[in-house]
Amino acid sequence: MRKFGLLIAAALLIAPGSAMAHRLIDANEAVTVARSDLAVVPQIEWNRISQRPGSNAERWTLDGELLNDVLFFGEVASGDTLFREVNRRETPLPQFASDMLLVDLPDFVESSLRIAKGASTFTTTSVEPTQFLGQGGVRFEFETLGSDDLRRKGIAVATIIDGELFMMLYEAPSLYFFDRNRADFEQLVASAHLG
Amino acid sequence: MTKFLTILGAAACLSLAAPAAAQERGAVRHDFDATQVQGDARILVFRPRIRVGEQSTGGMFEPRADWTELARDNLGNALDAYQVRYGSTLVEAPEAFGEDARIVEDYMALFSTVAESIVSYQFFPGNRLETKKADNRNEVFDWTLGPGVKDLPGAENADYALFVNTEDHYGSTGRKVLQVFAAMGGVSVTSGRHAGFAALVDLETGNILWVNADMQMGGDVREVDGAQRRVEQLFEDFPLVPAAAAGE
Repeated sequence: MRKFGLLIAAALLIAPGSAMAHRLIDANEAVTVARSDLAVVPQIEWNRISQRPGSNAERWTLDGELLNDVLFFGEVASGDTLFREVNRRETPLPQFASDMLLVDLPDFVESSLRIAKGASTFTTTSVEPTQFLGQGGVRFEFETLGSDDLRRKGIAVATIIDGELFMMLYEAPSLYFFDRNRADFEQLVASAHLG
Repeated sequence: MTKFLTILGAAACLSLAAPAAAQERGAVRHDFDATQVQGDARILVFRPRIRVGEQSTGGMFEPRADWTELARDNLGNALDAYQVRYGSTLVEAPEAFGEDARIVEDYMALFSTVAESIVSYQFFPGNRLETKKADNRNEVFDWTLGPGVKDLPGAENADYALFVNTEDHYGSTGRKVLQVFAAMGGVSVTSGRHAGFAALVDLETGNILWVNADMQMGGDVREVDGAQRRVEQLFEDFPLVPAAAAGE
């Protein structure tokens, strides 16, 4: 009986009707994201999805997260996960550790995305040093195949400041969608600063 | 425990009733003129993507090859009958091999994901994305697969493409038992998923001009009659006038 009760509760959580309205993010106005000091100034309007993907995360989109997914992570501390747990017992999400190096981040993101977004394949296609939030950071690109059989491309830009992770990530279908808004994501990255 | 479930159920009914009632199932692009597709227009029809399987108690999908085969025959026959009704306007897409076949598969997957996004973020008005509302907050339907649809095999000889996808998850016994228990607690747990998507796509821009999309369509696709019902539902409000009617 208890198992059924839990399943019912889980069904309620994923019911579409339970979602709250999504917020319009205005263009050309600075906005802080992911319950942190991370701030960006978008040049186009975006939608902020009302349900947070993780406690230190925020999701923006234009057509829904399956078609263009912009994720912000701010002040992720040691022991935090990037996303909400999907199934803590069987597939726990990896935890961030403050002693991680920038080069460890692609693997950390891969493990997190495989569990949280159900990517069946994940290939890192490039990793290079970059400047992010005025610090040395890492930029990497990747390709995924989702459980919906759709090939996607992604970019992540990240840095670690005082043992806390700051990251912006963009993922969209390889067909049309990724290229269409890649420049909009790069503009968000270029505008990022600590508020 | 029973009391808890009852309260949970009552809350669920209240939170689900309004959006479910308000859900839309079809749309036409705001600037689409249906007269464009009559007459000499050529609509390329791609072989539908059909998936049928069982839904486990926990909601996982387990494909069933035998059911998929049945559905493919039944839906194929029902669609053929429709195609005859519309005459030479509907043209079967050429058989694709190698790279061409991969492009078709990729677009089928993209179409399915775009259709799901339309259901989530357009057809539930309470969940609609703000940027999809435009200034008047109404009547704007702007979804696309992108202009790369020009690369689809056969696209060079056609003006539009017709995509059809169906995905049916029939509830296992365990899932049905869960549904009964949940109903006792006043909670609605769906047993099965019966998604059907059909769309007319502009082969120049990739824009979706007309779409029917529903995550709970009627008709058991494993049965001849059910497949016919499904196809009728998929083509409800299809903007093309049947050849016989057009000739009258």
